[in-house]
Amino acid sequence: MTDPRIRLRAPVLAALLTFLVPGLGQLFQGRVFKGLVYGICITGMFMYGSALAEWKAIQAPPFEYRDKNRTLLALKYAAQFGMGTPALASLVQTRRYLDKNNEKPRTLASPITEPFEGTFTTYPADQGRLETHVKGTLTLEKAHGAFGETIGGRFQGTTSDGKPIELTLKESVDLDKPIAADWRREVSGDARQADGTSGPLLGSIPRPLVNWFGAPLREREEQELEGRLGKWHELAVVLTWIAGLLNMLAIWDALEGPAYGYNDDPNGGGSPGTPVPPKPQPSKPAAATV
Amino acid sequence: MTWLAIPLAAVVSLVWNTSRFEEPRCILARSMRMFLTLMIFMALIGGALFLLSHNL
Repeated sequence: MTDPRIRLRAPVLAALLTFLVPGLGQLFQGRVFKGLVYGICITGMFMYGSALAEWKAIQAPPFEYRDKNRTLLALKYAAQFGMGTPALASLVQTRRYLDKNNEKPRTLASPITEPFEGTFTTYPADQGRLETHVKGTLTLEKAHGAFGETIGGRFQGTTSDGKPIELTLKESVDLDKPIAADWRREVSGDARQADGTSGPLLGSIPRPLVNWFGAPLREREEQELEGRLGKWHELAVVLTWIAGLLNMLAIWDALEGPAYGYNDDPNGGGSPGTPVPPKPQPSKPAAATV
Repeated sequence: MTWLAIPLAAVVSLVWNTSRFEEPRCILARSMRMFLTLMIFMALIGGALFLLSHNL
């Protein structure tokens, strides 16, 4: 039962607010200290864990994109669900990821111009295979190939040693699907320089935040991430679980108040302006009164 | 990585006791006590594991 000295303003709304943002419900109820503790501790732990996992710690159902470990993924998500906003965002992103429209585009409705970074590979007669790192601006647009509309484009930038380079991409550009967990969207295609040199261009353009945050990792991506981060990845995910579970306590606190009461004083005192109730006196044994 | 146990124990102590009590002074006192208990417990376990794995 809630201690009568604690006034819980609109508990259901406050619990919902705390679910969405840890501590927000307590701030709404005027319990500033508790709101700040929950907000800083829980959000801080979740953000640290997410940053350690390169912001790819949450994976939400449905898990159709995975062949195995669905139960394990569901349990992981259940622990993270207490964090509210990022868990819900992940749910939405998974739905968007699995949508039938989220496919590798065959053509583009409007041109895309993005910063590009990648490798241009050529095969000069005297040097064998030559890989040149290039950085610049890539423009992709609708093109007409032998089998209908495809994607072509052009690249303008510099090589790693500062030389300017311009490339024309033939109508065979392969562009990754719009929504995926990777920050970078892979692009590849056959490119040609003005002097006739040609070869494959492989690299990536940035993917907008709304198209990668919370999107599910493909098994290959998860294995790559785990291999690269090692035990830090496991720690990161565990931190997000702990944050989600701790926020459950904060949600319950917004709804029902603290579990033990106002404080741990057995007399119930301590609240400013509240009279301390007298200690109960032990009654004498009946035999002593005779 | 081991040092992350310190902020982790601090956060868990603070949030746990914040959900148990209302008065800030009480929350802080109980959190400090819980934090120290956790640290001592983890140090004991860590020490025992260190001794058991010595010369392995």
